Amino acid sequence: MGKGDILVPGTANGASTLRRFPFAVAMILLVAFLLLVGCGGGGGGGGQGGGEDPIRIGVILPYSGVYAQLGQDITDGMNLYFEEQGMEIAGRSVELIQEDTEANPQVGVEAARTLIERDEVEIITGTVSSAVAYGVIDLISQDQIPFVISNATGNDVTRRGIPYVFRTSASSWQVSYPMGGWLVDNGVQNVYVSAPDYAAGQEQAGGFKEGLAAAGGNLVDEAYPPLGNSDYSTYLTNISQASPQAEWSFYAGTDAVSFVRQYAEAGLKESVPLYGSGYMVEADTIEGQGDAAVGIRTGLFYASGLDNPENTAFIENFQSQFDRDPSTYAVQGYDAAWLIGEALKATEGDTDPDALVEAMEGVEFQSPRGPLSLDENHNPIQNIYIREAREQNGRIENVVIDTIENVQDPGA
Amino acid sequence: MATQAESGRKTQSFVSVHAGTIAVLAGALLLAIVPLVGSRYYVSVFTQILILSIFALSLGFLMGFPKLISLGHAAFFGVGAYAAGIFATRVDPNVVLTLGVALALSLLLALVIGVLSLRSTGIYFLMITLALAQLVYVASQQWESLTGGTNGLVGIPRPELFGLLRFDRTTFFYLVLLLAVLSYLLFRTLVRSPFGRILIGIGSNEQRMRAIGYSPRSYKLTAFVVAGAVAGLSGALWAHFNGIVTPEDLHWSHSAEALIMVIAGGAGTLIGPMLGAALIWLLESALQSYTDRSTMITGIVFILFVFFARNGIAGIAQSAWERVRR
Repeated sequence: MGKGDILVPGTANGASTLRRFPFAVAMILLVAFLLLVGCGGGGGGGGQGGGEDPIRIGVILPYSGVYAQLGQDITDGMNLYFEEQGMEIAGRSVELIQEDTEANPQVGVEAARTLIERDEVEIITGTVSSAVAYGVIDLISQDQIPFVISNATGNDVTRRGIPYVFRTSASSWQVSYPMGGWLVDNGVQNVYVSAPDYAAGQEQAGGFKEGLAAAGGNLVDEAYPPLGNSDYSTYLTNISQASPQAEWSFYAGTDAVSFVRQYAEAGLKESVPLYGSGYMVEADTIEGQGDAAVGIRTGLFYASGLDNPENTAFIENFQSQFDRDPSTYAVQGYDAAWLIGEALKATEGDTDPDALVEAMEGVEFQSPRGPLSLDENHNPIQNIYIREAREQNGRIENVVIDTIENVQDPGA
Repeated sequence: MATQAESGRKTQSFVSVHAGTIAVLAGALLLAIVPLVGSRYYVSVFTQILILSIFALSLGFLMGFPKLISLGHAAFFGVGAYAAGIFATRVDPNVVLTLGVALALSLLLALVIGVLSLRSTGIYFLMITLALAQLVYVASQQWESLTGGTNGLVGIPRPELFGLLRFDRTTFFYLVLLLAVLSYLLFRTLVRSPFGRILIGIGSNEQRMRAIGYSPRSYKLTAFVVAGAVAGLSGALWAHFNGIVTPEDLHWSHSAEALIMVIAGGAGTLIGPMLGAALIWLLESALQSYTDRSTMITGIVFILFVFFARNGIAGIAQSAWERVRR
């Protein structure tokens, strides 16, 4: 073997590669083709700059994994609004470009970047996970793209006061804080708190404890089982032994189903009434919880049983279009689309970021959830409803039993 | 075959010997005009490809010359990314400092992992690098106060240079391009040096090198540390580019991806892994917007390479070149 062969080991079997020359050509063509595909795709987004330029809105939501249903509900809520407008606003057609975030911050940031750079979207909306939202906020701040958050409840998302960030759901604090004072007002002083051990769980529980302490209530003890727990028996035993006046919890999705069912099975529901954050008993969990949910009182900015004309129309339209009941998430999506659509009407289709932000600040909502406006951090000021799950009309519904009006996040 | 190579060297000597460097410099020149003619999407695409090509290059150096197949290379990438990210968010986003910190920490980690893993060879070396890298992965997940846990470290700004320059999309692209070319030249110089010859010797026949009187472990450790440090550099660039670092960046599957880049590009060359990075990025990310089956397509392409083109893209280019020359 010559020196050259050692230097470049690739030549060691150069003779045999030579015989595969036609294949080599094929491979080179394949690479060239892929390069073309990669680049051609890039041109696609920008190439549509004709006379009738659509308004491109990037939607980043989880469409696979555990939060897929939430992503679908939010998307359907948005579509309901845009279809009411005939998919056209201020003479420009509306194009929703969806990317799956898998509720994974890495994937979500990449999805947002692709939407901004390749598809040249003018507005971004979405994110169920707060972790994804935090990542995307950095990106949209660099490129000054308005970002309407339709779910992520992380307190800091809006408390940072970034001008391009809006939210149509709520902060964690906002959902859980009012319940603390409400319980004390209704004669419940000693409360046990439990929530899953992750960022949202800690924030929700933190808000409740703050509200309880401010009203002079007493925290008996607290427990933080891991996220995705399946057996709560040890925690339930501890709650039973501490014998508090009430239990307050935040769980969501499958955790909410397991916890509520096991709470009822342990017979605790009668001795220690269960209260919680509204996400624990919602359209997506009630089916799995069944009778175990009945009687639980939770706080949230929406209830399916809310009696106002907007909600009645919303439920009717949603049912006729999608053949199922809307959830809170669908309301969040509808309001996010409303915020974007009404702002675009005000700017007459102009998507200049600063003009859009100013227009969004002036949007008046007609939300199924009742009165809704935005504070100076672009977080909603809204009613928090104390709801009780009751069996009526042949199904379990959240019925509003009390209203805490115009709750505003305290900000930074 | 040897005589053919000798006679060829006389006429084609300059082109043959410097084929890789010429290709890299020509490629760099071509890429340098991308921001002038392409949209910001292309700038961003090529920034990502270049960062990954530095990562693949560093692993390609290990796999191609001392023949060290590591399945823990993402640990250095990830530690570099976290080091640069944490330093930029908490102390100072000066590019010299963030890249310096990333280089230093990944070098240190490579030294530790190298000392522990280079006692073994072959499949055992592969498994130990995998295990140690997964330890670093778990640490990045658990050490929430420092890394942000599974939510990732967010808010990493693009770097600046002593208050003179705040890198934007385009200038950052040029920085990455410059560092990619420098990394290539570094490894090229290493491979051509006496040190590199010894590494190639170790890769071909370690026992014989030991018999001649060399101590393979110290040479392998040096190569491992250099490769780890450069991987850390690419990680630091990735952190600045992406604005977010998550434990996924250190996961062993990221190491496996780099391995595929090297094999598809051509182990045993330096330019091959860089081309492999581009190919795999295009297959994985660019195709993802058109089909859900991009991972399957990547798999098929990888199998085709293993069956029909063991020397990867670089091997194909080489045989095509030799064919033309005749």
